[in-house]
Amino acid sequence: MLSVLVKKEILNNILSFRFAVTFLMFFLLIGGSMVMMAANHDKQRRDYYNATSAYRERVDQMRDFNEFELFGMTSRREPNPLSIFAMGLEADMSRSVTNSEMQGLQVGGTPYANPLFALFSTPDVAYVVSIIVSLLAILFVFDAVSGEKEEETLKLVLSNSVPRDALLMSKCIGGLVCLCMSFLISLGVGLLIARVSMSLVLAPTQWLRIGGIVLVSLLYISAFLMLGLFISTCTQRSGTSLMISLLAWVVLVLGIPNLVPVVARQMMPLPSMARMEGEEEAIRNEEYDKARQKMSRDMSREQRSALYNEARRAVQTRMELLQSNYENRFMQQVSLAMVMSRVSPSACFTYASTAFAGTGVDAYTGFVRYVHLDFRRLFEQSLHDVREASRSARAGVGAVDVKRLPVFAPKEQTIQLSLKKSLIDIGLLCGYTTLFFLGAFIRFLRYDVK
Amino acid sequence: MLLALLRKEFMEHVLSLRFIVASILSLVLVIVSLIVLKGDYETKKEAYDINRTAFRKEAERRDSYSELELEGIQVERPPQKLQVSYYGLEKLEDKTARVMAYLVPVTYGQLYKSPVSALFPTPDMLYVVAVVLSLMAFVFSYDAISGERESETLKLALSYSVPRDKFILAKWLGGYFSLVTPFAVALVLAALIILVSRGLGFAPRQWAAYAVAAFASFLFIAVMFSLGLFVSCRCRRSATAIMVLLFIWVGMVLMVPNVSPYISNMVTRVTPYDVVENEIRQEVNDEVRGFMGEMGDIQREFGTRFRQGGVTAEQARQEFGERMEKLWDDLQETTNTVGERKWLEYERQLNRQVGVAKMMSRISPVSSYVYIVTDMAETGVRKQLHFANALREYQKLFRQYVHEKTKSSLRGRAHFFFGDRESEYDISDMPEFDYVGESISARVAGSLLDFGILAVAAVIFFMAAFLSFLRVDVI
Repeated sequence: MLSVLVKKEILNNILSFRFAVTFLMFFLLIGGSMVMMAANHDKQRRDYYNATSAYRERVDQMRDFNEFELFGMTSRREPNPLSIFAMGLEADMSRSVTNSEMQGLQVGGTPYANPLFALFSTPDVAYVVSIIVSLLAILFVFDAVSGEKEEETLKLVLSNSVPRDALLMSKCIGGLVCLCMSFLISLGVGLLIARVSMSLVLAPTQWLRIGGIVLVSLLYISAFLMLGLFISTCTQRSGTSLMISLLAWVVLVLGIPNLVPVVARQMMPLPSMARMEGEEEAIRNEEYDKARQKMSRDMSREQRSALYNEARRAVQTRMELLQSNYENRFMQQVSLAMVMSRVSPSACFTYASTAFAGTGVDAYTGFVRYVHLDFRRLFEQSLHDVREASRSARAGVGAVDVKRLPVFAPKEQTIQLSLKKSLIDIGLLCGYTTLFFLGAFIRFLRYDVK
Repeated sequence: MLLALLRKEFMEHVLSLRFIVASILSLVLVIVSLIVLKGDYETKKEAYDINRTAFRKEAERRDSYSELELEGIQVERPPQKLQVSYYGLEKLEDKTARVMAYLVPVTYGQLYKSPVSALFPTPDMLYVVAVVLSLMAFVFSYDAISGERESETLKLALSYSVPRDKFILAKWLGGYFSLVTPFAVALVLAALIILVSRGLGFAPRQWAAYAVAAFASFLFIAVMFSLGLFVSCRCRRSATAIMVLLFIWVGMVLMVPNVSPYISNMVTRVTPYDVVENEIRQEVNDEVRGFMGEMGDIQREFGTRFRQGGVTAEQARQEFGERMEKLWDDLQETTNTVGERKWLEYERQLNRQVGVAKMMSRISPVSSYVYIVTDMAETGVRKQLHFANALREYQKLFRQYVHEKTKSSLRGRAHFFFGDRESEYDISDMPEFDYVGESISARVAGSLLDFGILAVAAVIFFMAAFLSFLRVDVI
């Protein structure tokens, strides 16, 4: 009985105008997004290699250490190919990071860049799924029950010996099969075109991550499908179902995930970077002043150097403590925002998909920690070696040895860790799907079909 | 007749569930986002005030004008007040720049910002109108004609002496006013909140910008409503109409504006700024090295002549000063020319890319709307370029200032030979960076094209709906 009902639902869906529109949109949007984002990634990779070579060339041309000290060391992270699927915070992690002894740490460094990328959201696969596919999922089933009631076919079907639970299950399965197949076909075609036209090459672990993104997307689609079905079982007219479904979609996808982070910022404000930098400056001045006071004219060069190194270590320790305290507060704010926003399945999907893509909140906070603490420490340690080497080298082009500079290599999260971090969001998506399905089930058992 | 029809349409909408939904969404989202973004603005304003003082102190702590010239000064522009309604590009947080004498000023951001906020767009008034109200416009209009046709009330109404033109006009007016009423109430409430906020304090030019942006919002909603009405006229069933409209909505609102920067990036070429900067630095470094070499030669020459008794101290000071001044002026001119030339080429390429993206995105009325309101609020594309130009103008003042000061220091280098004192480092007379936004008239003039697009689109879609309805088969 169930298989017959499922087959009927699938055929009904496939032969409907709605399915044609949905399939076309999936194909254009998902496939198109993949191709476009792959082309963009290709360009970003070329820009990254050009920028890195340009910088190395500049350092090779430096004639003494003072030039290097003035302009500092500019580093960049290699673009992540999985940002094609979920851009997340990739744009922020791709910015250049400049370390110099005189000016500290600076992020970015462009006079005027194309602002349109920031004015509009990135149309990656995660965006298409999160915003558009969820809407289509709801529109696919909003009148699954209420529409049949309006057409009076529901009482006709149930007047035969068709169990209500089987009927509802068939609607769920039929809708899921049609939507998920459309999604997978569009994604597959997009990936194939991107691979062939843009020479997209992915490592085996990256394919596993893509698998994770696909799984999370399917769960997400299911959650909204069940939500649409649940709303349909709560109303008697399809017009009312549509209104309530759209309201629910607007609140869950456009409202909660966007409002909550701003509210969290107000609930747990951070001291401004201006205040932080003021404190850092005060620490540097205090320690170096102490060292200067201890210095005397009859001290040898080695003694002065030892005092200076002591001051440098003291500055480093205090800076690390300051950074660490700031970072703890920063993480508390982030955690609060994430916990509050997880009321929305859209937020759960975004966190999980970006975690798999390596462009999520954890990857970002890890990157920030690496830049502010780990790499900064490496840079300051190597500065001394580079200074000494340039002094002993002949003054002129090549005075600064590029090989002595630390390599900027923020660690990538392992796939096991990405999965672990996504488990809560995957669990919540499963929970939402189950909850909405149970809601639809219970409501349908009592649904008045007359 | 028209008034009766209008009243009927208006009441029908007002008493429907969709009006309640639109009202709740408009009021809640607009007011909540305003209150939250107001707090955000106050935090940024506080940080700006602290930074301004800190940057000045940092410059005062330099040891000499030469050091100031080499390391430059940090400046920052204040947060825009209208970001409480139209957040736009304020999310970038690239408000701080380092202005140096030779290189193009660059803006810096920070990594310590909420990554969760960066993952989701800010729900400001722009978002409410462009995304939520545009969807509501379609929801209000999709069954205006097709629904009446399905329920067979259309042929009933037209079987009386109800002119079709008045009928469709009443549909448009009744539906449109019922849709914009809650939004208008939200705008007024938002204005009241801004008025009573101590930390915000809009000036008259900001109120004017707020009014212009509100007008643009009403025009945009009219465009979307007219389009919805047109599709409703063309479709026999309201289920078909809503599917078609949602397809259009997804394309217009969620895809076309977002895709156009990427397509433009693929078809136009912009040299990455790192490569441009590298070229500028190399050329400037070569010039500076040449200058240092010549300066060293001149110093040795005067040192020798003075020791040999070929010149008096006074003669040496004067001649040395004149030659150094000429050398310095030549260096300044060459380095300025190099930087300016490269920057202008980069700016030309980038503006071309932005221009292509904007033209492509204007297929969707949403893009025109976004450009208008963000430019009015000074949180858009125009502001980015205006800020970059303001930084370059300030750089000219800064360069001129340090040039004058270091010239006297260069003459003062003679103190090595003649025992003169070097000029003291005091920057109390240094020009400050006071960012002034574009005038309201310039912003309105810049938005005329987008206003025109919206007005034309509204008229075209309404006329299309009108003409379609005149021919629609009601049986």
